[in-house]
Amino acid sequence: MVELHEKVLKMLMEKGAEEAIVILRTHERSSVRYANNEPTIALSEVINTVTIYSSIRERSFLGSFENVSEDFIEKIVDDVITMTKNSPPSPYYAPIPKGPFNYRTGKRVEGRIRRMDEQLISYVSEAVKASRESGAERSAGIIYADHQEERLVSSTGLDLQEESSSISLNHRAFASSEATGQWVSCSTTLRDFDPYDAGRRAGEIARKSLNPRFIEEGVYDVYMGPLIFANIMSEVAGFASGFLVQIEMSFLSGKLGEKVGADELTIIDDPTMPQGLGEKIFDEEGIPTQRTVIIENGVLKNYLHNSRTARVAGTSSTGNAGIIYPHPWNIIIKPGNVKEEDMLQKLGKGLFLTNSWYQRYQNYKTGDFSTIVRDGAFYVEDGEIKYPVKGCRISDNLQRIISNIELLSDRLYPIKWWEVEVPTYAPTAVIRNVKITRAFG
Amino acid sequence: MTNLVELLKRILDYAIASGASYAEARFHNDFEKNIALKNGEVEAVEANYERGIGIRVIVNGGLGFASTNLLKPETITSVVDKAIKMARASSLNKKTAISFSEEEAYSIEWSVFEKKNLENWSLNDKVDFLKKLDDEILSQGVSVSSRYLAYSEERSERLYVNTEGAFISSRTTRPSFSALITVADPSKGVIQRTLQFGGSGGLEAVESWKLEEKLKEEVKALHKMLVDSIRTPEGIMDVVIGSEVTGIISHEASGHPGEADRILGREGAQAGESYLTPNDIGRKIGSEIVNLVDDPTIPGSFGFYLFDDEGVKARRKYLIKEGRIFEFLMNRETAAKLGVKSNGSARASGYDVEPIVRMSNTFMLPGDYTLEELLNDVSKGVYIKSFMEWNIDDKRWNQRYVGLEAYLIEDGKLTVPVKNPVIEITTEKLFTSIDAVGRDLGFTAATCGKGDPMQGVPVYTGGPSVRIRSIRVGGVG
Repeated sequence: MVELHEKVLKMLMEKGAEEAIVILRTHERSSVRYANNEPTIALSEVINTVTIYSSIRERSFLGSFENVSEDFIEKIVDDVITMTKNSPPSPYYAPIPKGPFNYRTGKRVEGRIRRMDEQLISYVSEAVKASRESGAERSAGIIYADHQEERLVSSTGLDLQEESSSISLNHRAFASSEATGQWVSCSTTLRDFDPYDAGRRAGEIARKSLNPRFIEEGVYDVYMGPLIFANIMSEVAGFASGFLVQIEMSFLSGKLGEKVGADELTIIDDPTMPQGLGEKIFDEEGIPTQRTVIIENGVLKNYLHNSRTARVAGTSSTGNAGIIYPHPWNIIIKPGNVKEEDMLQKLGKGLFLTNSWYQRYQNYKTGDFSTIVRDGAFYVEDGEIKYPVKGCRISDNLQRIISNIELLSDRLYPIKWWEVEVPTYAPTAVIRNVKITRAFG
Repeated sequence: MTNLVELLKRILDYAIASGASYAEARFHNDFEKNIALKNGEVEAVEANYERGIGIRVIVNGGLGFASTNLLKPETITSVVDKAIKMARASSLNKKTAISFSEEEAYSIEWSVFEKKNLENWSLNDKVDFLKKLDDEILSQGVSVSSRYLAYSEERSERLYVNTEGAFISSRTTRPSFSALITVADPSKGVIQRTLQFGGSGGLEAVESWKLEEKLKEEVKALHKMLVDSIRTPEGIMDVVIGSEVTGIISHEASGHPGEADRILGREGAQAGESYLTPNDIGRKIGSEIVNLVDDPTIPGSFGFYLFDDEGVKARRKYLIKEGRIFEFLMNRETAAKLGVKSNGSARASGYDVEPIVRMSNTFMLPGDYTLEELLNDVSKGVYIKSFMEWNIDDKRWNQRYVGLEAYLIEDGKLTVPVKNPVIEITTEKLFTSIDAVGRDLGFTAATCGKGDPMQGVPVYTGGPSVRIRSIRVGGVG
């Protein structure tokens, strides 16, 4: 039996496309949102998407279509051909990859995650209970169970399929309206998924944050927990996208081969990581994904490319398509060798920050930015937490921040939530001389 | 259409038969087309077509939502079954049952009128339009090191039914334009500007943005700021902000904290909560001349709608009236919790997400002052016309805006350009320090993000120029 994506490809080629890629994705998701210790809504979805790329004489079209019923295929294909023909020829055009390629095998997917429903509510209860036991009054959050199947065929003969699944909990605990703590648990296996631990950690941070004080603005040495460090580092890795680099929407533009960060910093995009949250066999062009070192010991080694951005840059794809927008899959910050429990002592005096959100840029090219410190934040002296603080903002420069990284801990945490969209494996970090500001009034 | 209505009604019947006390079904047929010029050349034409059904149910006081684009009966019943099963299970963990405020069940069709139909604006014309804008940017005698210009148009057809008899059918068209422009100088470095324009309607909306003129002005202003600006003097001084800055403040410091779901804690783990509590209606938050509204009914606006995604009629809401909190933004769930009626603020960005409390067009109402009059009375201060960087904490109290085009005010006159003035201030200090409001009401298109999964919805932010007395101004660097 000819399947939908194969049928679409055949029709595209019959109707005049010179090249085409067709990807059929089926995404199944169950989730539960909760607030004030109670579920607020339970959600279930099944969504099929057909992504179509076609080109004719260096004219290209890329689209995603959800109207995948058999009755509409002919109309969709006709529309795609018309839009492709009407598109102007592009100097960014690159031929689609031919192969043959060698793909990794042996990717493991936990089938039970796909069938999750009421169990998710039990997980939520576990997290809420743990936060309460740790001293929080109330909790809010969301749990997702995701399963995706992807089939890719191309006019160059590629015929690929891949399956992925993950479970993730984002949990925030409130010991008072201004004493909050956040933690996540996310995994591709149920074995490593621990909602109780996330609830406990978030609750403990919240409890320790009671009665926070304002601090003076200034330059502080900072110890960053895994959530905030992952947040900032995922932005850094995202800026390695060849697309962003080529429109100068990146502080990494024009700096290939240059020292951009501290010796301690190595950032890798590694979709080959077994059972990684962002594990991926092939990209949107069907090219096998690979482990790409973005920054090694502070030196910018590689941008992330698809065939198009690679052609502009005179290099090869790194297997990071998005056909138009290359992006990281699975970000890993190489751990350091300091035990996490020793990091506060190594900080000595400064601030311990657990989380951040709302990172915005004055200038993407220079990396001038600010971000709000959120949830537990603490003033530290002599390696010990003295009191919780509030109202802080990091107002600095991204390159300066990564150049001032002094220490990284030896343990990686998998982080993925609302603020960190691309899975990021992050240690904790001591960063010197971070500019902290606060509001007037 | 008839078949679709029948399908939606059968879904409602199925949900009720399966134990739901309330059900609604929302069908979307959304088509979006994008063309972008990357440094002057088109990369590809892009399109996204979303078509599916979202079903929301209340079961034993638990709320469930199911969505699919596989419109086969067995798939729909399967996702509805799962949502009902999970909603029922979640109800066992709830102390208080979810209910919706009682609202009139409308049966109505509404649509956005395109004076000049976008379908008649060919792809080639759109590409030529973008290329002409790109040429304008490059012909200002300024070194533009990169530019990214994108045009997008979205057509959305929606059909909404619920078990209370509501039937809403709507069609909207929204064109939009965005740009990232980088201007460089060998000795001064680079300066960047992001821009967004948007509206509802047809080609007439695009024409009304006067993009050629705007982009020329922006490029010249960027060059002036990069080359001529001096370090911003720091300290306590008066500040006059332009419409664009008033707009983002209105959105961030009044609109978001006025969302009742945040006030009630429902967004606590993501977008956060609010400095407001349910008892804060009437609380003084600004000077008496501060009046701030959210109004989805403005024709041609980016955040335009006449009925929300729960079938409730849209209307203007005063968030702040004469300096006091007047009303929250509400959907049916939060209205029921607060014992009032919904004010039509429920929006869903797609069929596959639940409707949540959202802004539409949020803006400060204009006063009587001209810009000259606002400046006249300032002996030393800063005028901030536009901004790039901004953020605000998740209770919407501690915020920062960093100016892009900005000038020193000396003895009532704009003098030299200043580099990146920073306002970092609390909401109450900001609103209570406003002593004069301009008459030059303007709007800026934006995409507002909220919810988990993230939902981006089109909005206007807006307001007039405003004078703020004696606040701290800082500088970057």
